[in-house]
Amino acid sequence: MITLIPIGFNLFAAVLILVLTRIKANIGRVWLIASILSLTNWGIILGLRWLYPLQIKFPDWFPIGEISQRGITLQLDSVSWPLLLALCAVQTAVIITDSSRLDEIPSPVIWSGLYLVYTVGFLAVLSSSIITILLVWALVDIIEFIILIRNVISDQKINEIVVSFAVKILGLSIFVFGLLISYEQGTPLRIGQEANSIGFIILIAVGLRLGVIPFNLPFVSGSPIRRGLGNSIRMVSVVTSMVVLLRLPMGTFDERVQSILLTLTVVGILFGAIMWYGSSSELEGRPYWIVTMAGLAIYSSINDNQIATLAWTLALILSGSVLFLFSARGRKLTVIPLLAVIGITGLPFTPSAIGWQGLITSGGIIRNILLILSVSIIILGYLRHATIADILLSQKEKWIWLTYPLGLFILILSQWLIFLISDLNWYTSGILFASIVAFVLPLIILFSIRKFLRDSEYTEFLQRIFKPIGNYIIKFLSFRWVYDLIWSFLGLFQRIVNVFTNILEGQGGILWVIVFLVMLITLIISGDLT
Amino acid sequence: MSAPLIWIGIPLIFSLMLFIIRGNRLLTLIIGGGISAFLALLALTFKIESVFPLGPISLEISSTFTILGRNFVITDSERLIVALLYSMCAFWIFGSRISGTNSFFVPNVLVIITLFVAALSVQPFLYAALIIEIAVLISIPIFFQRGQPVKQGIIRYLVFQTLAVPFILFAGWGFEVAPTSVDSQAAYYQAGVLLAIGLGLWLAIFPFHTWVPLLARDGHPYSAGFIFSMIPTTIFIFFLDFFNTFSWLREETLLLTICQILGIVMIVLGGLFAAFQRELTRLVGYAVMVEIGFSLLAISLNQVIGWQSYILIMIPRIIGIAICTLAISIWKNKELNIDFDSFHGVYYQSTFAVLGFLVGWFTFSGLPLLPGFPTKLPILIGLSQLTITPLIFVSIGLFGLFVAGFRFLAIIFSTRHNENEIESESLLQKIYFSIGIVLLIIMGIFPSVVLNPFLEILSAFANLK
Repeated sequence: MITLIPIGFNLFAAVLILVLTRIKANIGRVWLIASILSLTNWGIILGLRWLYPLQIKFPDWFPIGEISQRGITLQLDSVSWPLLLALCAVQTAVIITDSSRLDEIPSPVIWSGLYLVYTVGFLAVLSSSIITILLVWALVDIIEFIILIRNVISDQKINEIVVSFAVKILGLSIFVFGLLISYEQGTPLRIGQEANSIGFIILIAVGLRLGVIPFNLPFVSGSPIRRGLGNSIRMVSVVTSMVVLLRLPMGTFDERVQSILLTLTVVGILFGAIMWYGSSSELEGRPYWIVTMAGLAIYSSINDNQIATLAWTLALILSGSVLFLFSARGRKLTVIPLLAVIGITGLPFTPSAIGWQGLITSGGIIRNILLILSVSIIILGYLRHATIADILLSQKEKWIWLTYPLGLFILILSQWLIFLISDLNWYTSGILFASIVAFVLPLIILFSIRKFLRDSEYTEFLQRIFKPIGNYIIKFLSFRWVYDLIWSFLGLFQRIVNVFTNILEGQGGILWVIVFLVMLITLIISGDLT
Repeated sequence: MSAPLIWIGIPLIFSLMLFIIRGNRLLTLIIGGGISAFLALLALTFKIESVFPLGPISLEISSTFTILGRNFVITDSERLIVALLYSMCAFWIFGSRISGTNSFFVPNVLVIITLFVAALSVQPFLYAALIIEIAVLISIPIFFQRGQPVKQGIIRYLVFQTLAVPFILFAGWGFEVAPTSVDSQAAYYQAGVLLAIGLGLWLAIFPFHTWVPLLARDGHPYSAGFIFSMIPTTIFIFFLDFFNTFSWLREETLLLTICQILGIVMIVLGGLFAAFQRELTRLVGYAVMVEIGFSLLAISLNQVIGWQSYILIMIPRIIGIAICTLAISIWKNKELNIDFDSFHGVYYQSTFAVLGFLVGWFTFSGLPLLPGFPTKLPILIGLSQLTITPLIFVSIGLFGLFVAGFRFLAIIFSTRHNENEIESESLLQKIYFSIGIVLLIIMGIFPSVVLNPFLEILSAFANLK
């Protein structure tokens, strides 16, 4: 039952916030209670580090059949605990940094919803059976869909949300298909067991949910939802997908298949990194951040390095959230995202150092170079977005000067705590040359841009050249041409189906049936069927 | 007192009475729904062939009732089937309150269900075909619409259902004479083929499926929904009885292969037609095709898991069809054009009906968290243990249903027409849809708790356990 404490606590908090909102409590007080509750839950989860492994099982979720691990299983172990703490840290950070955005919050009930979103996230992280993962995936997708659809007003955005939902459900269906194939092969898929021959299918499923394979971007133009809730939905969704990669080791691929997969993923990562850098703001670039960082995690997973996958996933969630919640700024405050950058670089003995071991492999030198380049661009983009001027914290009330940085800092602290106290033994120097190049290169470029290009007369000229090329690349890599092709094919198919339908359901349809019946009767009389 | 008298005789008398007073809609509904619910409850609690002490006297409910040399037999193991049919009858009757069906609906539905019970209990089974045909004939008035001619879909439904009768009768005759025939094996085969054609016509199996989308389009959606859910349920139970009685049917691989192929064809065609369909009414017809396909696949497995899934899949299907057709009925009553294009922003005008339709639709599609998922997954797993090829086709069919669902989603939330058309639904509508939605969601989240009791239905089929 201890496993359920964080979930129960979050649910309790959600109900309490709801009650406080109903009795029209002051928004400041509600915020304070929400913050304290979230911080307490973070402390509880931190404490659970010394209690795992823990498991809770609800056997026989479904009454019939020998469905693989048909019970609902939640497990707290060395894989789920870091993700659980990371999610709770993001929850806490969102609520605490909301102090700087209180005037934008329509109602404190939003925190109640936030707690519910993270509760589902906790469930996803703790999932330890195939059925649980499938159910939680669906739950996350449905909740995300409901929240987003209630917060948009334009038809274009609605279409994007529906397409995004459809792509995720497609990913879920492909995962089910993979499960069925595992039955056909006589080795039903189980948690902890190597996915092997269906690893490719699982990758496609996860990739579709994240937008890596093929490179689709449900929400390329970003969502109008505010930082807190928007970031929460995105991160919870990411974690639910990544859990599968962490729970189901990919095993060994055929060498050629692996090479193709890695190359495709690198292309996605590089493209995402460039787009991330080129985005007008961090919120606009968030889908690219997710795609790129998730790409790094997937790349590590294909190379069968689970800890590297976890390291990149944590960087995605925690370092990413620092920037996405960085709404009020100031010169001194910039130090916080700069600290968070350390968590992405993979410098020796830092949280992501082990991540490089999942990326840099002995074969494929071009891929290695492209990966180093990609991480450099990611860092460059991160620094660029972190240093863009925005609302100043100094314009806010003084108590916010204390709470807001604390909220951001908890994310960095969590990443380091996970690194230092988890039992995954990931203190490593990583791949020294890769991390140093990836760290130094963006610094040099950033410095050069600031020094030489900012006000250069060539900037506009260069933009004029690169923009059309960029647009062309986006068009190609976004696979829109593939979708257009598919739509044309479907249009043709639709016409065929309509003709067929009209024949059978039209006035003459009954004649066709009678012809068919007569054929059958003739066969029976002639005894051919016997 | 005999069981057939209680569960066939009494409701027949009541339905006749309801037919006379059908002008008083509310009273008819309360009595019709009440008697159905009571009979369902009675079937759940009273044991047949047992003695009940009632004060100084004791009451024994015998299982057999004989009339004109024919027996109606409801054994104790069949009580759950009777309970299922009457509870569904109550469900449909109470739902009709907001659906706008005509005054024939309640009395005719009660008599149809009663006749279905009679068809399942009559011996020799040959007479079941005739009883079902009577039920089909009685169902026609529930599609009548004042001032409108009987449409193509209704006629085709009647034609196909009637066409099935001679095949079933010949099949029954074939089964009876086969043991004494010179070439008994050939006679059995021919009888089997005739039975398959008859059942194909009844169940709307390809290529006899065309009446389903047409009836959905031309008939009253709720009445059509009742037919879509209750006829297959009854026929499938009837079919199950065949499998239980004739062991050679279970061992006949050709028949099982045909079942599998037809099941796949139904799923693929239903899914593809749905993906490109723009009319909501016909959409439900195609979903019904997919559902029938899954039942055929469950049979083709010829394993315990298949028989169990076969039973369990019926329950969410009935509720799903009810909730979808109820939503369509309400939209049709508002004189909304039942075409996708007319549904821009409908979510903002009739939220509960839209949610009900979506939950019902995604139940058909097999979305996790809804009961279509746990009931279909065992069938797919059973199928995958045999071969993977059919799975690809089944996936295409289910994908088609999902596509239709997503297309609907993209339209209903559209903001194009909703500026001045905010309209609230009545409290009764909200209650009805909430009950349907909650029922389906609970079934989907806790399938073991909710669906497990229904497995008892299989106790009536000793050879299939």
